[in-house]
Amino acid sequence: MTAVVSEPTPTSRPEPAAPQAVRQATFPRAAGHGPGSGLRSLWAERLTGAPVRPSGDSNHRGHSFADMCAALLTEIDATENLDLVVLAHVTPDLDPRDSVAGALAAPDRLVFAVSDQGRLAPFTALRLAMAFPDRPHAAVIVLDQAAVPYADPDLSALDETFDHAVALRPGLGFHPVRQWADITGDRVTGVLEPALAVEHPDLVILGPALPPPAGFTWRRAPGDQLGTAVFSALSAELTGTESDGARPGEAQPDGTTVGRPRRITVVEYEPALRGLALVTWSEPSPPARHLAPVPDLRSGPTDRR
Amino acid sequence: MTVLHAVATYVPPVAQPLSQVADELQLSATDARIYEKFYGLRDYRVDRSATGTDLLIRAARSLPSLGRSAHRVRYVLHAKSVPPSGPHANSPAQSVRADLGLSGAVAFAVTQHACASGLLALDLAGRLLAADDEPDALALVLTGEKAYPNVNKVMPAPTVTGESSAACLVGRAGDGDVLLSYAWQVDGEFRDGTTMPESTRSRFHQRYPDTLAQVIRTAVERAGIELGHLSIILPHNVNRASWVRVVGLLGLPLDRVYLDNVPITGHSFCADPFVNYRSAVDADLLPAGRPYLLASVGLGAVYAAMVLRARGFARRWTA
Repeated sequence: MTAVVSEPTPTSRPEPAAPQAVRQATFPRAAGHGPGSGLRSLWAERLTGAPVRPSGDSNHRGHSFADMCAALLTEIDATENLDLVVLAHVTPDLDPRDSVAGALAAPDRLVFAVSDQGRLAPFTALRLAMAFPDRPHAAVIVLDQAAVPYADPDLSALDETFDHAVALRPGLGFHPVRQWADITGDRVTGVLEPALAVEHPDLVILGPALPPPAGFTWRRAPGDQLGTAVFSALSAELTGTESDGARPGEAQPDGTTVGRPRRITVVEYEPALRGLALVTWSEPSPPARHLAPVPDLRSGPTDRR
Repeated sequence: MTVLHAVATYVPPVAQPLSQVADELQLSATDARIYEKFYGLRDYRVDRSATGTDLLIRAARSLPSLGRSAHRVRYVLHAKSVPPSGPHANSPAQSVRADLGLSGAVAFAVTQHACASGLLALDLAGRLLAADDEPDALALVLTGEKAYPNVNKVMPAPTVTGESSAACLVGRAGDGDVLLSYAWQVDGEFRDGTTMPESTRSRFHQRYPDTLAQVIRTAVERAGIELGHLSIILPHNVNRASWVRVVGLLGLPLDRVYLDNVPITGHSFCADPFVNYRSAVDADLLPAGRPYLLASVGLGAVYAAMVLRARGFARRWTA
């Protein structure tokens, strides 16, 4: 599902009846707000140099993580109460003094964040969420906001119009998550292609720095996002937002869907950290009505190499 | 099973009396005296020559077993009070990973529980290891950050924040202490920890001891023990006075809380319970077979408590 958000309450399509594996929302930065007073002094003592205005953003406006999360959670909580929310982000919050855990607090809901891992933070967040079999109603929320008070060449191509957020539901088809450390650029292909062969994807979504894999259908994620890039592309693929004509993925009388990949592997590479990660999303199989129900299964271990 | 194999710390060696640094911390002379007499705070202990990465590396390098176990480390978790503050490629977690040669590890930061993030990271490390099919794998949990004068200015509690740090080696099996339970609670009313209006701040101070006592009781209950079984509580070092109120509510004697480091280190981001752990081990205060409790509270009203059972091997870790 994709929503464009101008205020914390998103304008979106009608609420679907069933939980969605991926929800994307964009937030016009012009409709956002500036960081709170006193933030500049906090940054000033934490940065090597003096804080700078974000390039291309003379108004230094954006959306806080709490506001973006609240918009997405409003949609999800309409169908299901979450007991685990894991944030993943590359850039800091618009105002890092705000407690998102406090903003999203609900009885017995665990909220925490993963960062300092560049574009790979969402993959670690997914792994962590899957490590909570006792909290099956989990969401990973990937957040990109571009108003940062320091110079970073990695951020020069960021979307200057929108902040981005994507909510992933680990229990709705994401498995496995794999991560590799210390992979230099010349080794990426050698590691990735055998891994993809194991995954058998119908489609591979690639982060901006990855070479196309031989023998697989692939799609490139947008280059103006960070952690959300590959998952925005996944959302677009699942909802057909970039397709023409009939919307793919609509249910057929036999319970299956046609016109879209049913197994998609999302891959990201973080050159600065020499880290590689993938996660595969598979469309859950429709229940076979002639079979007796099976007991609930604990989430299986994530694979790792 | 989550096992705490080893804990090492770095405490900046030079201490400055509060009276000497009152101006830097924006404390009046009267404030400084109240901090010393009433809150049990005495020293301001920072290392201005050290970067945030240096603080973590110095603690990690004091782990006697890390060198021979480096190839088994799969995760490096940096539990942080303050979220990222610069380009991600230069983050302390990544720098420590590279400096220590932990090339097989995935490194990242854990935040949003503020100074209670250290206990969260310990729990997460155990969960990650349990989800992997690699019994000998280890995780390195790091705590500690740079403290700046602005930090002390905005903290809602009367405290002095220094730069002590800690490194914990966590596994799934072995002779270390066993994690029995972990409890937490977030009071969303106080999410604006540094910018709360005075009335809200007052309400936070009123609610604080009851909430922390309740979280401690929950952790103890989940561990399947009773409060009286705890050999010691290893607290955050925000100040002494707040713990007097908490142990009163718990019905425990004050000496059941390890407060010796409050005047020495003051508070340090996420690291306090682990710094106290190391001190308690050195003082032989963790008898084998007895459970003990780590406790911390993070800005934004995140309360956490964790019960572990000592297994008597901690003394071996002394370098």
